[in-house]
Amino acid sequence: MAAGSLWLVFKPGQLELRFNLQTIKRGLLCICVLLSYALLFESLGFVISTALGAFALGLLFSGRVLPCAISGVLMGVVLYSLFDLLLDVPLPLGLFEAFVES
Amino acid sequence: METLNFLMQGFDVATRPTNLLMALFGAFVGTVVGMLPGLGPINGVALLLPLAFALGLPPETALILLAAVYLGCEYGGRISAILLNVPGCAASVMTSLDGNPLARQGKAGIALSLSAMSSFVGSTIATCGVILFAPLLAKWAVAFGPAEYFVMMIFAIACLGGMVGDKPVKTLMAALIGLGLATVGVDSTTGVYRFTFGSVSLSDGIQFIIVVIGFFSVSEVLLMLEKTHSGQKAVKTGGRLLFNFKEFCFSFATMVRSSLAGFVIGVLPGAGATIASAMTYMSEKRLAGASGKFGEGDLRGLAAPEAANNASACGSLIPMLTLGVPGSGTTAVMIGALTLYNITPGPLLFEQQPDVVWGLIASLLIGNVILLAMNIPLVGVFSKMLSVPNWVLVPAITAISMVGVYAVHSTTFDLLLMVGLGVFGYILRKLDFPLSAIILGFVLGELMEDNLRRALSISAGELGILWSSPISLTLWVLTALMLGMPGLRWWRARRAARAVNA
Repeated sequence: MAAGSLWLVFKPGQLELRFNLQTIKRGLLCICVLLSYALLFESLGFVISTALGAFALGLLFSGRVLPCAISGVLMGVVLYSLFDLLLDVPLPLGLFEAFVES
Repeated sequence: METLNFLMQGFDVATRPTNLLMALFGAFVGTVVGMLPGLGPINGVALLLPLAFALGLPPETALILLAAVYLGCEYGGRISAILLNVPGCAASVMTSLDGNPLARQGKAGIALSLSAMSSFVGSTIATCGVILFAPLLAKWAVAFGPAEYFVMMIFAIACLGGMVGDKPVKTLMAALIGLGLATVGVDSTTGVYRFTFGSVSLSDGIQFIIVVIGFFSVSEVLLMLEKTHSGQKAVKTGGRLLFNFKEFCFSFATMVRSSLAGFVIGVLPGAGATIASAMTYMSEKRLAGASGKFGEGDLRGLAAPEAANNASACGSLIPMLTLGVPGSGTTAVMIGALTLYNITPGPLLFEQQPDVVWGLIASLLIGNVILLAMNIPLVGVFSKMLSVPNWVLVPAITAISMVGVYAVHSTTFDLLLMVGLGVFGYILRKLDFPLSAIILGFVLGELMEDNLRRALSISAGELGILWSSPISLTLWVLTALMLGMPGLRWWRARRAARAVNA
């Protein structure tokens, strides 16, 4: 295996950089957003984390600020009501937990 | 006769209100998902699977939903291929070759309706094939013991390498990565923890849904970052909306031929819709010879790949239902769905769960009619959806993926694992590894291990049981042939190149 990978590394003429700096930067940012979305999912709750995540992702995909913010908040609320209230998929409430008496 | 009885029973199941509703819903979602560039049938099935599970749908309903999505995707891919020249999923690459020129000539309506019709012909012929052959194959496959199964799965993996063609080594490696991922978790026979690194969350293995959503949805999001195709204008659908009788007759023979070919390709484990549509397109082009205008808007060039990809989608249900071996990436996901319900797909399914099997088959026929009825008049609505911008689409995909994964175990760990697998999948995709091979390997991994273990416990550890029966010997030979194929092709190509040079 080691010999094989060495051969791959030194294989002549196959190496070309397919990435440019801009894409790498955006890709890394996107991974960061996804990771923090995943990390904050439980503690912030679905509605807030989705609103934030959708907003950030929307910006990354070259959306304008205001529409992204609106769509983010809408997505958080609509998806929460769709899944949790309508379809019985339990989602974390997070920060809202204090307001809801169970 | 017996088959007809079962089929009637299947129609009973499929025409229950919930099941009809699910078929309708699945067909709609499937068409939309298939149409959106970048999202294919696997994504559609992967996104709806957790939903079906969380809703507590009974297995046959869930399967009907997933199959409707699968078929719907094959229908939907053509819309963006024709109107935007961007294939909605991999299988409709060939459709865009002749579909888009037709649309540019102002015949978008004809192209769309004719391709819907060929999709319909393709899936109907293939569903009839399923009805005819699946019970026979299932009866035959009952004779399979664990050892034969094990060899069968090795054959399926070898098929992948032999069929996918241009990158056999990468495909095999991808399948092996999938097998590797399947080993994580508690060993089912001895209870040893494998590759869990002391993490409780990994102790019952990597959940199937997480792998699928991570590899397909999350990596897709990352991939979409690169190609932000904004400002793409769809060709207006104008002129005649429906094909006429002459055009239908002109391409009917093509549809039938391509459906049959697509069906056969679909049945072979490993080879999916993409290969089917490419192969039939090429052979129709050759058949038409100089008289065809392939590439400039030939109706036959439109009908062939569409009929073939739908036919192969249905055909790939045969190995799934009868052998428990997936015929394509999407059926691999469906097998995973069945195992979530503790149903092991295989020959016994026909005896133990006739409702599930025949309900599914009957719903394919119904779903097909629904799709045809939906696709011809609603094309305008669907093509409007193509203009949903990425900054809405991507967050929505991400949020739904999160919900799907969270619904399984409700842990943050799973969400992080999903993102991690997504990044891994993205890198593999960049390196040209076929992801569907990983899913196939992952699904087969567990089944393969179980069967190997069972076979070895029957023979008290004697390896000879793996090649003792004629069935398994035949399968070994076929496996060897499949593994030899890429080599043979390479050798032939080289010889041809040399002959040209000399």
